[in-house]
Amino acid sequence: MSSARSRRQVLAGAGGVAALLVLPGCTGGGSTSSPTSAAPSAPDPLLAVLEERQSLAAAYAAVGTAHPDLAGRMAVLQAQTEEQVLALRRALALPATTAPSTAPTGAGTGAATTGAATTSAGNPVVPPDPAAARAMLRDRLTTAAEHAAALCATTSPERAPFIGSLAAAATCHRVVLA
Amino acid sequence: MDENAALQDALAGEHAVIWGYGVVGAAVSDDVRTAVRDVEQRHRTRRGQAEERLRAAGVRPVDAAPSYELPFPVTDQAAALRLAVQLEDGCAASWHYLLGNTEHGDRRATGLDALTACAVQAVRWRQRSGARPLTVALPGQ
Repeated sequence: MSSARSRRQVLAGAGGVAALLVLPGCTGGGSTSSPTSAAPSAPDPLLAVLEERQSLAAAYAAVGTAHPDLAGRMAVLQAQTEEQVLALRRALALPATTAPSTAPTGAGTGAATTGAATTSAGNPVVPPDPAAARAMLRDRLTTAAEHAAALCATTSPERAPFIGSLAAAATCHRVVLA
Repeated sequence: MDENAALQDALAGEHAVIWGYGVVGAAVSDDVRTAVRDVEQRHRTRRGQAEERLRAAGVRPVDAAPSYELPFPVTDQAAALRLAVQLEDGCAASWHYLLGNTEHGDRRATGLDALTACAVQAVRWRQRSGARPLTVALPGQ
Protein backbone atom coordinates (compact mmCIF):
# COMPACT_ATOMS: atom_id res chain seq x y z
CA MET A 1 0.00 0.00 0.00
CA SER A 2 1.56 3.23 -1.11
CA SER A 3 0.26 5.15 1.87
CA ALA A 4 2.01 2.75 4.22
CA ARG A 5 5.25 3.09 2.23
CA SER A 6 5.14 6.87 2.35
CA ARG A 7 4.45 6.77 6.09
CA ARG A 8 7.64 4.77 6.56
CA GLN A 9 9.56 7.52 4.81
CA VAL A 10 10.00 9.85 7.77
CA LEU A 11 11.24 12.81 5.73
CA ALA A 12 11.99 13.07 2.02
CA GLY A 13 15.57 13.67 1.06
CA ALA A 14 16.04 17.18 -0.27
CA GLY A 15 17.14 18.06 -3.81
CA GLY A 16 15.52 15.02 -5.38
CA VAL A 17 17.99 12.64 -3.77
CA ALA A 18 16.34 9.41 -2.73
CA ALA A 19 17.83 9.71 0.69
CA LEU A 20 15.70 7.10 2.34
CA LEU A 21 15.38 3.49 1.46
CA VAL A 22 11.78 3.09 0.36
CA LEU A 23 11.22 -0.59 -0.02
CA PRO A 24 8.94 -2.37 -2.44
CA GLY A 25 6.45 -4.95 -1.45
CA CYS A 26 5.05 -3.51 1.73
CA THR A 27 3.12 -6.33 3.23
CA GLY A 28 0.55 -4.08 4.86
CA GLY A 29 -1.26 -5.04 8.02
CA GLY A 30 -1.35 -8.76 7.25
CA SER A 31 -4.81 -9.08 8.63
CA THR A 32 -5.96 -12.01 6.56
CA SER A 33 -3.47 -14.67 7.53
CA SER A 34 -4.53 -18.03 8.82
CA PRO A 35 -3.94 -19.09 12.43
CA THR A 36 -0.37 -19.97 13.30
CA SER A 37 -1.11 -22.77 15.76
CA ALA A 38 0.55 -26.05 14.91
CA ALA A 39 -2.27 -28.30 16.09
CA PRO A 40 -5.57 -27.94 14.23
CA SER A 41 -7.56 -27.92 17.45
CA ALA A 42 -5.48 -25.31 19.32
CA PRO A 43 -7.35 -22.01 19.69
CA ASP A 44 -6.01 -19.10 17.73
CA PRO A 45 -4.00 -17.00 20.21
CA LEU A 46 -5.61 -13.86 18.78
CA LEU A 47 -8.92 -14.94 20.29
CA ALA A 48 -7.58 -14.25 23.78
CA VAL A 49 -6.37 -10.83 22.62
CA LEU A 50 -9.80 -10.12 21.14
CA GLU A 51 -11.54 -11.04 24.38
CA GLU A 52 -9.11 -8.90 26.35
CA ARG A 53 -9.72 -5.84 24.16
CA GLN A 54 -13.50 -6.34 24.21
CA SER A 55 -13.27 -6.45 27.97
CA LEU A 56 -11.14 -3.29 28.01
CA ALA A 57 -13.66 -1.45 25.84
CA ALA A 58 -16.37 -2.44 28.30
CA ALA A 59 -14.21 -1.25 31.19
CA TYR A 60 -13.72 2.16 29.56
CA ALA A 61 -17.48 2.43 29.07
CA ALA A 62 -18.14 1.47 32.68
CA VAL A 63 -15.59 3.96 34.07
CA GLY A 64 -17.05 6.72 31.91
CA THR A 65 -20.51 5.96 33.23
CA ALA A 66 -19.42 5.80 36.86
CA HIS A 67 -17.21 8.91 36.67
CA PRO A 68 -18.67 11.68 34.50
CA ASP A 69 -15.52 13.80 34.85
CA LEU A 70 -13.65 11.04 33.03
CA ALA A 71 -16.35 10.41 30.45
CA GLY A 72 -14.75 12.45 27.67
CA ARG A 73 -11.38 10.74 27.98
CA MET A 74 -12.99 7.33 28.35
CA ALA A 75 -15.01 7.84 25.17
CA VAL A 76 -11.87 8.39 23.12
CA LEU A 77 -10.07 5.38 24.59
CA GLN A 78 -13.16 3.21 24.22
CA ALA A 79 -13.59 4.17 20.56
CA GLN A 80 -9.95 3.36 19.79
CA THR A 81 -10.24 0.04 21.60
CA GLU A 82 -13.34 -0.76 19.57
CA GLU A 83 -11.32 -0.06 16.41
CA GLN A 84 -8.79 -2.58 17.69
CA VAL A 85 -11.59 -5.07 18.27
CA LEU A 86 -12.84 -4.61 14.70
CA ALA A 87 -9.34 -5.14 13.35
CA LEU A 88 -8.93 -8.26 15.49
CA ARG A 89 -12.20 -9.65 14.25
CA ARG A 90 -11.05 -9.07 10.66
CA ALA A 91 -7.74 -10.81 11.41
CA LEU A 92 -9.68 -13.75 12.83
CA ALA A 93 -12.07 -13.77 9.87
CA LEU A 94 -14.96 -13.20 12.25
CA PRO A 95 -17.92 -11.05 11.27
CA ALA A 96 -17.80 -7.51 12.56
CA THR A 97 -20.30 -6.94 15.31
CA THR A 98 -22.10 -3.80 16.34
CA ALA A 99 -22.98 -5.18 19.79
CA PRO A 100 -22.58 -2.47 22.42
CA SER A 101 -19.35 -2.68 24.45
CA THR A 102 -21.27 -2.65 27.71
CA ALA A 103 -22.67 -6.09 26.92
CA PRO A 104 -20.96 -8.98 28.71
CA THR A 105 -18.08 -10.39 26.67
CA GLY A 106 -18.50 -13.83 25.14
CA ALA A 107 -17.28 -16.90 27.01
CA GLY A 108 -16.00 -20.21 25.75
CA THR A 109 -12.71 -19.30 24.15
CA GLY A 110 -10.95 -21.02 26.99
CA ALA A 111 -8.60 -18.08 27.22
CA ALA A 112 -7.77 -16.47 30.54
CA THR A 113 -9.16 -13.00 30.99
CA THR A 114 -7.35 -10.35 32.94
CA GLY A 115 -9.03 -11.58 36.10
CA ALA A 116 -10.86 -8.31 36.61
CA ALA A 117 -13.83 -8.39 38.90
CA THR A 118 -17.19 -8.35 37.20
CA THR A 119 -20.77 -8.19 38.37
CA SER A 120 -23.02 -11.19 37.88
CA ALA A 121 -24.05 -9.70 34.54
CA GLY A 122 -20.39 -9.68 33.45
CA ASN A 123 -19.98 -5.92 33.55
CA PRO A 124 -16.75 -4.54 35.03
CA VAL A 125 -16.78 -3.41 38.65
CA VAL A 126 -15.61 0.21 38.78
CA PRO A 127 -13.89 1.57 41.90
CA PRO A 128 -15.84 4.54 43.32
CA ASP A 129 -12.69 6.67 43.54
CA PRO A 130 -11.66 8.10 40.14
CA ALA A 131 -7.94 7.68 40.83
CA ALA A 132 -8.50 4.05 41.74
CA ALA A 133 -10.56 3.60 38.59
CA ARG A 134 -7.70 4.95 36.49
CA ALA A 135 -5.26 2.68 38.35
CA MET A 136 -7.51 -0.31 37.61
CA LEU A 137 -7.45 0.56 33.92
CA ARG A 138 -3.67 1.03 33.96
CA ASP A 139 -3.19 -2.41 35.47
CA ARG A 140 -5.36 -3.98 32.79
CA LEU A 141 -3.49 -2.09 30.09
CA THR A 142 -0.15 -3.28 31.45
CA THR A 143 -1.40 -6.86 31.23
CA ALA A 144 -2.77 -6.29 27.74
CA ALA A 145 0.50 -4.77 26.53
CA GLU A 146 2.55 -7.63 27.97
CA HIS A 147 0.22 -10.21 26.47
CA ALA A 148 0.46 -8.63 23.02
CA ALA A 149 4.22 -8.16 23.27
CA ALA A 150 4.72 -11.83 24.11
CA LEU A 151 2.55 -12.88 21.19
CA CYS A 152 4.33 -10.43 18.86
CA ALA A 153 7.62 -12.21 19.49
CA THR A 154 6.29 -15.63 18.50
CA THR A 155 3.59 -15.01 15.93
CA SER A 156 3.91 -15.14 12.14
CA PRO A 157 5.60 -12.28 10.28
CA GLU A 158 2.24 -11.51 8.70
CA ARG A 159 0.66 -10.84 12.08
CA ALA A 160 3.59 -9.39 14.01
CA PRO A 161 3.19 -5.74 12.93
CA PHE A 162 -0.51 -5.71 13.83
CA ILE A 163 0.05 -7.36 17.19
CA GLY A 164 2.94 -4.99 17.85
CA SER A 165 0.60 -2.07 17.21
CA LEU A 166 -1.86 -3.53 19.71
CA ALA A 167 0.91 -3.76 22.31
CA ALA A 168 2.09 -0.19 21.68
CA ALA A 169 -1.51 1.06 21.76
CA ALA A 170 -2.10 -0.42 25.20
CA THR A 171 1.09 1.19 26.48
CA CYS A 172 0.06 4.56 25.08
CA HIS A 173 -3.38 4.32 26.70
CA ARG A 174 -1.69 3.56 30.01
CA VAL A 175 0.50 6.63 29.57
CA VAL A 176 -2.48 8.95 29.13
CA LEU A 177 -4.20 7.47 32.18
CA ALA A 178 -1.29 8.25 34.50
CA MET B 1 11.16 -11.17 3.53
CA ASP B 2 14.35 -9.14 3.80
CA GLU B 3 15.20 -8.36 7.38
CA ASN B 4 18.32 -6.36 6.59
CA ALA B 5 16.49 -4.18 4.08
CA ALA B 6 13.75 -3.52 6.64
CA LEU B 7 16.36 -2.67 9.26
CA GLN B 8 18.01 -0.27 6.77
CA ASP B 9 14.58 1.32 6.37
CA ALA B 10 14.28 1.76 10.13
CA LEU B 11 17.82 3.14 10.27
CA ALA B 12 17.00 5.62 7.52
CA GLY B 13 14.01 6.67 9.56
CA GLU B 14 16.18 7.28 12.59
CA HIS B 15 18.61 9.37 10.50
CA ALA B 16 15.72 11.53 9.32
CA VAL B 17 14.23 11.88 12.80
CA ILE B 18 17.54 12.98 14.27
CA TRP B 19 17.93 15.59 11.55
CA GLY B 20 14.34 16.69 12.06
CA TYR B 21 14.84 17.20 15.78
CA GLY B 22 17.54 19.72 14.96
CA VAL B 23 14.86 21.79 13.28
CA VAL B 24 12.42 21.21 16.14
CA GLY B 25 14.95 22.21 18.78
CA ALA B 26 15.71 25.49 17.04
CA ALA B 27 12.08 26.60 17.13
CA VAL B 28 11.04 25.84 20.71
CA SER B 29 11.50 27.39 24.13
CA ASP B 30 14.43 26.44 26.33
CA ASP B 31 12.56 23.99 28.53
CA VAL B 32 11.07 22.20 25.53
CA ARG B 33 14.49 22.11 23.90
CA THR B 34 15.81 20.13 26.86
CA ALA B 35 13.15 17.51 26.22
CA VAL B 36 13.95 17.55 22.50
CA ARG B 37 17.62 16.87 23.16
CA ASP B 38 16.75 13.96 25.47
CA VAL B 39 14.47 12.42 22.88
CA GLU B 40 16.98 13.00 20.11
CA GLN B 41 19.61 11.21 22.20
CA ARG B 42 17.36 8.18 22.55
CA HIS B 43 17.00 8.06 18.79
CA ARG B 44 20.78 8.31 18.43
CA THR B 45 21.15 5.32 20.72
CA ARG B 46 18.64 3.32 18.73
CA ARG B 47 20.33 4.38 15.51
CA GLY B 48 23.69 3.13 16.81
CA GLN B 49 22.17 -0.21 17.76
CA ALA B 50 20.65 -0.60 14.29
CA GLU B 51 23.99 0.21 12.66
CA GLU B 52 25.74 -2.32 14.90
CA ARG B 53 23.20 -5.00 14.00
CA LEU B 54 23.65 -4.35 10.28
CA ARG B 55 27.44 -4.43 10.48
CA ALA B 56 27.25 -7.69 12.38
CA ALA B 57 25.25 -9.05 9.45
CA GLY B 58 27.95 -7.88 7.04
CA VAL B 59 25.82 -5.06 5.67
CA ARG B 60 26.99 -1.48 5.29
CA PRO B 61 24.52 0.73 7.17
CA VAL B 62 22.72 3.30 5.03
CA ASP B 63 23.99 6.84 5.45
CA ALA B 64 21.96 9.83 6.53
CA ALA B 65 20.96 12.14 3.70
CA PRO B 66 22.86 15.46 3.47
CA SER B 67 19.57 17.17 4.27
CA TYR B 68 15.85 16.52 4.20
CA GLU B 69 12.70 18.28 3.04
CA LEU B 70 10.38 19.55 5.72
CA PRO B 71 6.72 18.67 5.20
CA PHE B 72 5.75 22.23 6.20
CA PRO B 73 7.57 25.38 7.36
CA VAL B 74 8.60 25.34 11.02
CA THR B 75 8.62 28.91 12.25
CA ASP B 76 7.18 28.61 15.75
CA GLN B 77 6.83 26.19 18.63
CA ALA B 78 3.40 24.97 17.53
CA ALA B 79 4.72 23.95 14.12
CA ALA B 80 7.82 22.45 15.72
CA LEU B 81 5.71 20.22 17.96
CA ARG B 82 3.56 19.20 14.99
CA LEU B 83 6.74 18.21 13.20
CA ALA B 84 7.93 16.32 16.25
CA VAL B 85 4.73 14.25 16.30
CA GLN B 86 5.11 13.53 12.60
CA LEU B 87 8.74 12.48 13.08
CA GLU B 88 7.76 9.98 15.74
CA ASP B 89 4.79 8.67 13.73
CA GLY B 90 7.02 8.09 10.71
CA CYS B 91 9.67 6.39 12.79
CA ALA B 92 7.03 4.19 14.39
CA ALA B 93 5.91 3.10 10.93
CA SER B 94 9.45 2.05 10.00
CA TRP B 95 9.85 -0.11 13.08
CA HIS B 96 6.34 -1.50 12.59
CA TYR B 97 7.41 -2.61 9.13
CA LEU B 98 10.47 -4.37 10.53
CA LEU B 99 8.23 -6.51 12.74
CA GLY B 100 6.84 -8.14 9.63
CA ASN B 101 10.25 -8.82 8.20
CA THR B 102 11.98 -10.79 10.88
CA GLU B 103 11.39 -14.21 12.32
CA HIS B 104 13.66 -13.70 15.29
CA GLY B 105 11.90 -13.13 18.60
CA ASP B 106 14.67 -10.91 19.93
CA ARG B 107 14.50 -8.69 16.85
CA ARG B 108 10.74 -8.52 17.19
CA ALA B 109 11.32 -7.34 20.76
CA THR B 110 13.78 -4.65 19.61
CA GLY B 111 11.39 -3.52 16.91
CA LEU B 112 8.45 -3.45 19.31
CA ASP B 113 10.41 -1.49 21.91
CA ALA B 114 11.27 1.06 19.23
CA LEU B 115 7.70 1.22 17.89
CA THR B 116 6.37 1.66 21.41
CA ALA B 117 8.92 4.35 22.29
CA CYS B 118 8.01 6.34 19.16
CA ALA B 119 4.29 5.97 19.83
CA VAL B 120 4.66 7.07 23.45
CA GLN B 121 6.83 10.02 22.45
CA ALA B 122 4.21 11.13 19.94
CA VAL B 123 1.73 11.09 22.83
CA ARG B 124 4.11 13.20 24.93
CA TRP B 125 4.48 15.82 22.18
CA ARG B 126 0.71 15.95 21.74
CA GLN B 127 0.32 16.46 25.48
CA ARG B 128 2.65 19.47 25.23
CA SER B 129 0.96 20.93 22.19
CA GLY B 130 -2.64 20.33 23.22
CA ALA B 131 -3.33 18.21 20.13
CA ARG B 132 -6.24 15.80 20.49
CA PRO B 133 -6.75 12.93 20.45
CA LEU B 134 -3.58 12.02 22.32
CA THR B 135 -3.50 8.44 21.11
CA VAL B 136 -4.27 6.47 17.97
CA ALA B 137 -5.95 3.08 17.71
CA LEU B 138 -3.05 1.26 16.02
CA PRO B 139 0.31 3.02 16.31
CA GLY B 140 2.70 2.44 13.43
CA GLN B 141 0.04 1.29 10.97
